Amino acid sequence: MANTKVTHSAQSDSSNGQRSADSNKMQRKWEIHPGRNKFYCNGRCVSSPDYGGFLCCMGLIIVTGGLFFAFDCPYLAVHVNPVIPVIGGLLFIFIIGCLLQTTFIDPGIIPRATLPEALETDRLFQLENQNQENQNGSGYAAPRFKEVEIKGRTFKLSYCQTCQMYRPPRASHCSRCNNCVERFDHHCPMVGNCIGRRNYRYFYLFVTSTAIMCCYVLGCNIAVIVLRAMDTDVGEAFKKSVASLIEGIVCLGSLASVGGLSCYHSMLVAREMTTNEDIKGTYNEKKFKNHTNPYSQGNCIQNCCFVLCSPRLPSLLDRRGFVDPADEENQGVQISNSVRV
Amino acid sequence: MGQKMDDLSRIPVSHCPKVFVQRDYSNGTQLCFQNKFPQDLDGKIDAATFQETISTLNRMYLEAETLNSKTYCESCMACLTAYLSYICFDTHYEKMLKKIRHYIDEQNQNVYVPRGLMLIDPVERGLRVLEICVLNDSTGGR
Ligand SMILES: [Zn+2]
Ligand SMILES: [Zn+2]
Repeated sequence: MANTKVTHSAQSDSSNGQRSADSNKMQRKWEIHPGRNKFYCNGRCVSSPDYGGFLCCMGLIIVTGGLFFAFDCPYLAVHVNPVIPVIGGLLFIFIIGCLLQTTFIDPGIIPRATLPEALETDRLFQLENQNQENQNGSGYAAPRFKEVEIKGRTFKLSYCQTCQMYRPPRASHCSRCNNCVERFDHHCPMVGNCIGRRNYRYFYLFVTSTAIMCCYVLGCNIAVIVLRAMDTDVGEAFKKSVASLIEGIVCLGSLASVGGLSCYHSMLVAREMTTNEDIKGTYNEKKFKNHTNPYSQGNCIQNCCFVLCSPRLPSLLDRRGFVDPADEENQGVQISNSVRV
Repeated sequence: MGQKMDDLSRIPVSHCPKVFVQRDYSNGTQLCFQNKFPQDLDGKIDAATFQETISTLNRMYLEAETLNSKTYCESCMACLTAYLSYICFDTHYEKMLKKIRHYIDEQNQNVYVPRGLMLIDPVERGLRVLEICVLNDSTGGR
C-alpha cells in the first residue's frame, strides 16, 4: 500500500538510524504514531499515556468483588437463594468487559493529515484569504475555521494546528493524548482513555452497571448483617461480617461518585449530546439563537438505541499496518514537488 | 485478476498531483462525500461517471452506518457476551469496508486507471477525504 503517513520531522531523524539497524524488520505504524497514546499487544490495544487511574479502578473492583464472592455469597447462597451469586457474577463479568473495552480500544482517534492533504488545505486557505487581505492586515494569527451547515444550523469547524486539518463536527483535540478524537466526550483519567465516538457506549454501560452493582452488593451486605443479627445478637453479627462492612463502605463511596455520573450520562444519552457540548453550551437556548441539536435522532428512545446499538465503527488508525519505507525516502522529493504545484 | 490488482497497488502515487473530495456534513456526522464534480478533473473524466462512483460509495457507507435489525442484533449479541465477541468476529461495518475496497479496486481497474486517474480508499486517509491521484503528469515528470 502506498501510504504517506509522514508529517513530522522528528520521525525522519530517527528513521535514518533505524534503517541501518534493522533494515529487514518492518516497522508497524503504531510505532511511529505521532500522538502520546500508549500501545499494547503489538498495536492491538490503545490507551492514554497514564494508566494509574485504570489500575486503581480495576483493583477496587476486583478487591470488592473478591470479598463479596468469598464472604457474602456462600452465606446468601445457603440461607437465601443460590441465584444471588450467579447474578453477581454475571454483573461482575459485564463490568470488567466494559471497562476493558473502554480503556483499551481506540476511542475514535482521527489520523493526522498527510502532507499533500495539509498542503492542499493551506493552498485553499491562502486562495480564500487573498480576497479578504485588505480587510485584516495584522490578523494573521487569527484562528482558522470553516463554516458548514448541518441540518439547517451553521457550525464552525476550527482548524487543528497539530493535526493539520479542519476538525470534523463534534471532534475535539485531547491535549492529554495529543490527538483529535471523533465525537469527543471527555478525557477520563479514571479509565485511562479518552471517551469518544467508539467507546462512549462502553463507558456509559460501565458507569451504569457499576452503579447497579454497588446497589446490589450494598443490598446483599445489609441482608447478611440483618440475617446474622436475627440468628444471634447484633454485636456478634457485626463481628462476624467485617468483610461485608468493608464492602459496604467501598460501595457507598463509589455509589456517591458513580451514581451521579450515571444519571448525568443517561440524560446526555437520551438527548444525544456529549459532555464537551454540554460544557460549551452548544444546545443552550440562552447562548445560541438556533439551539437545535442536529444529531438527535428524534425522541429519547431512538437516541438511546442509536448510542447503545448502532454498528461498531472501525478504528481509523491503521495501527498494525506496515510502514512503507519508500514513503520516507520520497519525503524530501515530495515536499519540493507539491510546493511547485 | 488478482495479479492485476497487485500491479495497481504498485503504481507510485506519492509524487503525482492530487485532487481531494471533501466530506459532506450537511446530514450530520454520517459518512458521505461531496457529490460536486471537482474542477481539476475537467477533461479527464466525465461528470456523470464520477458522480455515479461517488453516489455508489455514499450508498455503501450509508448501509454500513445505519442501524437496522441485523446490526441491532449484532450489538445486542456482543453486549450479552460482555463485548468479548468483538475479539473473534468481524463486524458488519468491517465487512462493508472490505466490500467498498473491492468496489474501489474494480472501479480503478475498469474506469479510472485507463483514464490516468486513481482513487485511494478513504480508509487510508481516515475517512476524511477521498483522494484522487492524477497519474499522467507524474509519468511525464519522471
Ligand atoms: Zn488535533
Ligand atoms: Zn485523551
